[in-house]
Amino acid sequence: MTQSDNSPREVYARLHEAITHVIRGQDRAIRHLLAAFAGGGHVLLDDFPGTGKTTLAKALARALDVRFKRIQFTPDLLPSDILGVAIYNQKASEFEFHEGPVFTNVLLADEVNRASPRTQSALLEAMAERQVSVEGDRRHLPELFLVIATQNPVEFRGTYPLPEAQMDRFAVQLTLGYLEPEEEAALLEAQSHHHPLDDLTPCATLEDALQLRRAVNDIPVSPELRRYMVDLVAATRRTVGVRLGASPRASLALLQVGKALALFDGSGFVTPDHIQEIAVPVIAHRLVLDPQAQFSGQSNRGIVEDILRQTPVPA
Amino acid sequence: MSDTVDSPGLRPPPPLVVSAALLLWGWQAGHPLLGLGAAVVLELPRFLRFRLDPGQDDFNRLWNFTMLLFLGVGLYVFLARDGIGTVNTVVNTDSPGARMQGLRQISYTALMFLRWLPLVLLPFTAAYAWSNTPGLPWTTFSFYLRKKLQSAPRTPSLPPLRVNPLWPYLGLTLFTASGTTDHGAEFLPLMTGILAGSLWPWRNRRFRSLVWVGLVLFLVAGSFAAGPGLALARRLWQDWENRLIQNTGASEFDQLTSYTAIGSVGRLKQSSRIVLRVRTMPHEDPPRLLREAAFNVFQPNFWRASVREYDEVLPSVEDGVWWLSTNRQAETSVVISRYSARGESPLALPAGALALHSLTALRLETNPLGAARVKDASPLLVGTVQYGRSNGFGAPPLKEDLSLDQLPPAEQQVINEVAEELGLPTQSPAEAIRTVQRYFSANFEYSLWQPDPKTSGNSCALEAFLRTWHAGHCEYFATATALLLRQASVPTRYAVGFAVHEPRGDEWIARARDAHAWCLAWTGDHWEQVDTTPGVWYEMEAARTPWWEGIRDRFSDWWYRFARWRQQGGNWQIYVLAASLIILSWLGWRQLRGSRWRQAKRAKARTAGGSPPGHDSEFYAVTRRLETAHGPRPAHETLPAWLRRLHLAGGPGSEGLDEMLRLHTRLRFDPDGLPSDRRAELVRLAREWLARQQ
Repeated sequence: MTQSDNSPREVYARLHEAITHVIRGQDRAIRHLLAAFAGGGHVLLDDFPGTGKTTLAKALARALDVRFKRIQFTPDLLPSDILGVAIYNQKASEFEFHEGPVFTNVLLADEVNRASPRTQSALLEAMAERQVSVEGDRRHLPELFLVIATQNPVEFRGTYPLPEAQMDRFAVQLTLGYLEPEEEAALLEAQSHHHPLDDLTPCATLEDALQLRRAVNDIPVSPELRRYMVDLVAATRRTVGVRLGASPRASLALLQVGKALALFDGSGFVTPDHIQEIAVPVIAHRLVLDPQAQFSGQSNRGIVEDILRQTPVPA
Repeated sequence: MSDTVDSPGLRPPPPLVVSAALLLWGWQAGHPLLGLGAAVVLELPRFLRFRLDPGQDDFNRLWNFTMLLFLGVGLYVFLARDGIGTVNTVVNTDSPGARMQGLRQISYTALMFLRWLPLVLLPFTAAYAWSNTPGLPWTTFSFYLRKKLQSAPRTPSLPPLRVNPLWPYLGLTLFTASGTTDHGAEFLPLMTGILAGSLWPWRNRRFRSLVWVGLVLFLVAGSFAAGPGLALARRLWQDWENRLIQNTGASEFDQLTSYTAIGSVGRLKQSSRIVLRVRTMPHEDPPRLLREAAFNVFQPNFWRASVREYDEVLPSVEDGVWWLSTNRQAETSVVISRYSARGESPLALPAGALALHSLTALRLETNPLGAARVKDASPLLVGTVQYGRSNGFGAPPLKEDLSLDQLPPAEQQVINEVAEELGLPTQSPAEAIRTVQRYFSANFEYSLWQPDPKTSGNSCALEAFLRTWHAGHCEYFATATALLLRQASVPTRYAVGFAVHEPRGDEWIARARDAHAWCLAWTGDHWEQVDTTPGVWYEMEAARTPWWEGIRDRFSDWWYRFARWRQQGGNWQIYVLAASLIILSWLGWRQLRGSRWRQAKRAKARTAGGSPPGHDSEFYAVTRRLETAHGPRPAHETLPAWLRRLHLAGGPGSEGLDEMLRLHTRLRFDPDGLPSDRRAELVRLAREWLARQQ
């Protein structure tokens, strides 16, 4: 793999192009996925079956020349199936730790809400602190560690809603939605012989990815915009109908993902449009609504959109 | 959040309706200029682009401030119109006329307060009218609900109902406008017209507007015709009300009550409340007994006075002293204080009371049995009593003072038997008094409670007292003494009042439990106080002292000093008003100090100092020009999104704007700022663009 230009923006462009080749008509979702990745966050893909969630995650994993593991979450999955287990070696007369699939760069947690809360909780420490504590030992995960989880919002039997703490650890929640008829027709044509995913080759190295993240960290943000982000997040905590508002982690995610978007756009600094663009994917999934608010037709997305409409934006 | 601007509660009233209501209010309240000014304040936003940008928290604070203003105005009106005195009159007076007058005064005070409510609520309503806020949640108007939501964020919340406060304000203004009673013939049609105008948007669209206009005109014409009828109905109602009050008052107005039930003293004995305060001359003891009333006819269960009439005593023209007796040889004096009830009070006077002066009452009455009472007294009744050893103002014996006719046969028999045993019929008055005193002192003891439940009536109880129990409280002793002495042909009366034996500071006090009964015996030239109750009763009553008596006494002292200070001319209402206004001002400042308006002022000050960067961008001149042409930019819309929207809606082209926006955005949000050459480019582009728009 030889790349002529390894600037962070070029790395983003290559990744975006590669994934777009596999997932059609989802430019915005791909942009947000890569922004979350570049900002150091984890991604929850929440959509109906067959909309390309798993394919999108696999496309990103293949576009990166990094270690990739996939876990199919099932009701009988155990925490040790994710984290690893210590097995007694009779020859050496000692316990040897066998790393689980969590020790990777990109982890696809497919259908994450099919595992029990106990198993889901195995990811809490890994996602928040990039480490796992097993058998009393703390084991660090790679510097590049990305969890892409998928879940289906329409199935309730045999599923376990993700706990609030788990939801808060996802930087963004993305939905793909159904394709436009033209896009769907093109999809049929593209996959008539083989899946485009098979043709996808890595277009960014681990070092490129780390360089991209470091570049995102260097993007400056004006104090006014930092305050604007905090105002948006704080508004969720006093909104009628919201039982649990967004946490300071949401403000941090808003900052990081906004910086990534600024990098992608080549502006060199964050603008209010970047924040407004990413506010719903970053904040909405963290809110817990009152039952009464839900029954009255309110939604997490609608509440964040209302807050955006009511909060004056720096101009 | 689910409410939209189209919700009925959020839709503003039709143009000019609120203004018309305010003008009507100003006209009726007699302040047309104020009404006009308020109407202008609320209507101007329709013609100006300037808007305030308050948040929900700012509205909450402003509403808190408005409520404090509401309380402050209410307090001022209440005190300025002597509300406390009026309420006191209504509660305490027995005069239906005075009560009626007081009630009218209270209603006028309430009307006066209501009259100013539109101005009290104007700041809040104006703040809303000058903002782009799409309705306010109901919780804004309830401090309790807001606190509840804040303290329990995890409990299910109320649905986010929102309301446009202009509607309640409109209703309140119309209500207060109707507060006056002397409306002209135009009032009702105007009111009908304003109401119809405010309801116009809600008319049923099935019918043509012309139908509705006709209906409104019909209603307005009908209100013209109904005006005289309503005035007649109001007059009839007032006549009927006056007759009702007069009739009711005539059946209840009887304050000459001279009956007393013996058992009623027992309830008073349970209380340790300070009833009387007595200040003596230096180094002198107070009179031991202070008499409130005397009765001379005993019937089963009660004593009563045979003379029910009171005679008014007029003060001396020379010195203002109320002389109770022709004897003017007073030996000493005491100052007695007590609280009056309903402006009236019996006077507790020592034996031999001759005169009263410095009395805080306008009328004094006495009766021949030696009781005195005052009317039109101040709440704290204070008076100096001059008294001597000679007879006071009680009349010589009446025939009822010797009578035993009302006594039941059983009681009469036991009195006869005891009197015979003691040899009373053959003794002189002085001897008989001493005999009776010895008899009770040697054979009887004081008791607060009678053990035999069968003896519920005083008739039976008196017989049991003399024959069986040989114990009882002061009423038994006083009654038995009076009746036994009558067997010795000594005229007697039954006296009630207070025993003064407890010093407190430089005064003496009498508590409710010190209520006492004793006997007055005529010795030939004066009425002698014969108290046969064993002296131990003080201690027995004091033994029932509650633990909180000390605390209550302390408060009683404070209140007494405060009442004295008030009556000595302290204008306490001014102090109360000043203290209340200071507290309300402080609370109001606390409510407003954290508001966004004040913070916006700070932000402006920072801008003048050079930060944050880009607030002096030349691009703002461009946006102002665009706002003039296409309407203001919503506060939540970013500049790129706004320009994009204008462009799509056929607004300005993107030529020059894109580059200016790029430079402006960098100037505003790039912490490294905009290089000087790029800033010059922004200035040039802005000038060129503005020049093209000329």
